[in-house]
Amino acid sequence: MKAAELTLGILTAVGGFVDVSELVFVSQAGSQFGYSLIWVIAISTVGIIVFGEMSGRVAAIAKQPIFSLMRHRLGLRWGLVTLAASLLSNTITCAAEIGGVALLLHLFTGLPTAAFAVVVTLIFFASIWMLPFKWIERSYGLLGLFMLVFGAALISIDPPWHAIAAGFVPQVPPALSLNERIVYAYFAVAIVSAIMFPYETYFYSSGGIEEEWGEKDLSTNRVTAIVGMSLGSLLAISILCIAAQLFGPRGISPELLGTVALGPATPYGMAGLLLASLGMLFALSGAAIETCLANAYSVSQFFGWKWGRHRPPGEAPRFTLCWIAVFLIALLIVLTGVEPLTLAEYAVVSSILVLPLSYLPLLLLAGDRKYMRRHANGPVAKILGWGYYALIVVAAVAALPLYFLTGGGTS
Amino acid sequence: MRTLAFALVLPLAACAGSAQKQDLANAGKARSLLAEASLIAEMAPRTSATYTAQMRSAALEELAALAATSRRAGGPDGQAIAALATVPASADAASLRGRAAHARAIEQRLEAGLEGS
Repeated sequence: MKAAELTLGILTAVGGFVDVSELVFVSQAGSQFGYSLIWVIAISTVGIIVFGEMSGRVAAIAKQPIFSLMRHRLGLRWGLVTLAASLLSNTITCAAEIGGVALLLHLFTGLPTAAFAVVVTLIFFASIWMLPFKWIERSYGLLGLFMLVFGAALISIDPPWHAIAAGFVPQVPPALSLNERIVYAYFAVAIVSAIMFPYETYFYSSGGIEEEWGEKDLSTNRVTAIVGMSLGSLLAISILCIAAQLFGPRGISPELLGTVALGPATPYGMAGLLLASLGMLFALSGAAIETCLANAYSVSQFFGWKWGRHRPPGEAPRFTLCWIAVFLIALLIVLTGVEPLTLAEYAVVSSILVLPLSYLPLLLLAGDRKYMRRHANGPVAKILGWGYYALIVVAAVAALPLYFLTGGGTS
Repeated sequence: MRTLAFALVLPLAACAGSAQKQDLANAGKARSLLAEASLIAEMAPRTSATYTAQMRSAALEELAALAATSRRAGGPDGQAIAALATVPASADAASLRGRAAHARAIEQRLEAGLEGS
């Protein structure tokens, strides 16, 4: 039973790893810079494993959700700043995911994107209203496993494996001009942000509290974080490699979400296109629900309201109102006609600015023996945690200048 | 007087540089969209008709918007980029590929110019 649970947890983490920002940035990075940014995906994956495991451990031992910690550790003013910034970033991300799902459905049917945006929002609404937490997480995560077609497609097109292996070595390609180096740096920062999105840890740790994790769940938490996210990142690497192999040589830096699905269509034709689109559809749907719930968790935990999907909606009315409001705002953003890819870009840039404030309280509490007892961060977790913290501070400082210098990676 | 001339020339130079940078970004976007449109046309027999039609229409819409932006930007290559991005509805994969190659040539020239300055 435990092995089955663990496997399900890992598969859910794999299927839920990729969202619209990763699809966009990883594909564009691959087509523009070949395999040379794989190392950024690898390093960021270790980062999200470190913070994901830490947030699950804090949820299991200290029973503390992240935004409650934030208010206590950062104080009201900085806590509010972080809350506002993360609400903004998550809502934009939620809109990008809803817009992406609607766009994919439009591509296959020709029916209006706006109508699909309304319909999928209603489906997400019904999913959260009716399904227990575990099933919300698992159904979308498991259906996101259709994305595995990207891995299979990569093997089928037989890329230069030695070049892919070389991509794991940190590097800045020497042949790049100064302008290209700045764009390269922008993509590196965007990939760090897209993989280490803070909503993932808000959702993961709140889920741990919803499912009443305790000391006995620590090993499951560790294995799920390490194995699930590592395998999930292989999907992201496959998407990058397909873009490097198929799109880059043609001069394509995917400007349309549907182009990403043409990667698996190259070796597998219509079946590849359908599987890739289904995988993207469910991965984006899962991310839309996660970002929406992450916002409701954040606000409720920050203000000390009753929260959680384990309670019937009427028992946690303010929490319920929050997630409904997030969906409505996200839907309104989509209905203005902004492109999902543009939204994903804004989401990534705004999210990197929130990362340092989001992860600091978590890092402090996970190292605090008063709360965490013998499960406080050991030397390895401390070195990794503070090392990654320094990395995201540098990325956060560099994000805005790089965004403006490159016009969002376009020049 | 020399200071005044310098004060006048500097913003002008900056504006010219910025228009060139805008041209570079537009040329890059045109190159990518034209190449995407050509890939969509080539893949048409292996995907669904609706998917192909919608993707093609999205690419052409984006290209039309880009053509308008390029004209408005008023850069030295704005008109040439706009002409490449104005694609007839009947354009086939080969012609789209040709346009993408032209856009790439403009992009490379602008890149070299900006690197040199």
